[in-house]
Amino acid sequence: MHPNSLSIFFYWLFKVGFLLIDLLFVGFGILLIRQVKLMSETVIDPLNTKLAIISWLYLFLMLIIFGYFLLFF
Amino acid sequence: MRVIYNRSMEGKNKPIETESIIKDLRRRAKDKRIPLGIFLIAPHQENFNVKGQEETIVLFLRHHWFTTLRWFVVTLIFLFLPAVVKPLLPLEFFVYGGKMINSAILFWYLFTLTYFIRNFFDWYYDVYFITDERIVDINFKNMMSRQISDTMIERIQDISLSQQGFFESIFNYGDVLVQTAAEQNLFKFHNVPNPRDVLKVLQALITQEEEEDYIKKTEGVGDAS
Repeated sequence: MHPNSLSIFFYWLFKVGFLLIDLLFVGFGILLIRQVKLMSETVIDPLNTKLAIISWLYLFLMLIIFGYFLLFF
Repeated sequence: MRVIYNRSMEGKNKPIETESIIKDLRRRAKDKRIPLGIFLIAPHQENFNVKGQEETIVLFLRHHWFTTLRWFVVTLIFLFLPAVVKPLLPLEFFVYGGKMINSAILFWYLFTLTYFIRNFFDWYYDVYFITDERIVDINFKNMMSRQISDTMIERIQDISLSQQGFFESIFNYGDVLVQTAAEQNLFKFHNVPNPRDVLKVLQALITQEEEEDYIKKTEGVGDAS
């Protein structure tokens, strides 16, 4: 196989791999937001709002990284 | 060290007053209004959604912070691992080697962040409430489930304390096991701080419940006569 073809193959392999892994993190972020919401309703605590914000920030970070890998990688 | 308290011991010791125990705990307690508190006495800000209007929270407990050390140290190791591994990788064999390795490092840090967040939330939302009427165990099991268990104080039959190990003794944390007559007959306060104080509070609450029951019964008998 031509070295350039091999490199291109590995490039696409890594790109798809990174996108799939990032999708897992996005899924985790969605579950995290849901679970924080449920636990905040159960345990009333002064840090609940901050933890909810952290969970949303986590999801946004994963989505931004997904977008970066999809468009610019 | 194990300390066992059984209802059959009632009447053989002096009556324990809940209020005096709480006052004594407050005097000794250091973390009164800390958001990440692990042993809060009569907290004002912490609460749970199924609490009754007349119910008062006596103690709010979390796992001792020392139990978080393992995953905290693992997180720190994960953070520094790329700096150690990257110089050892043969980047010259890949055309896009540098870009891919940097992307892999980015995903490694995302994984580390995910690991830290998952463990932190697991610790933060695993809480125990002891109120004047019942004990509540709220458990953040994983990202897709939670468990809430409670039992009335009057159904408690036995309480035992287990504090075994070097770190448990040094940092004063352990397990308090509560045997009940309810459907879920065993409650475990796992790795809670000041387990002897937790035991004392539960003893006092049980005594208080029994005294209230006795007063109600005698008042009923008095009315009938």
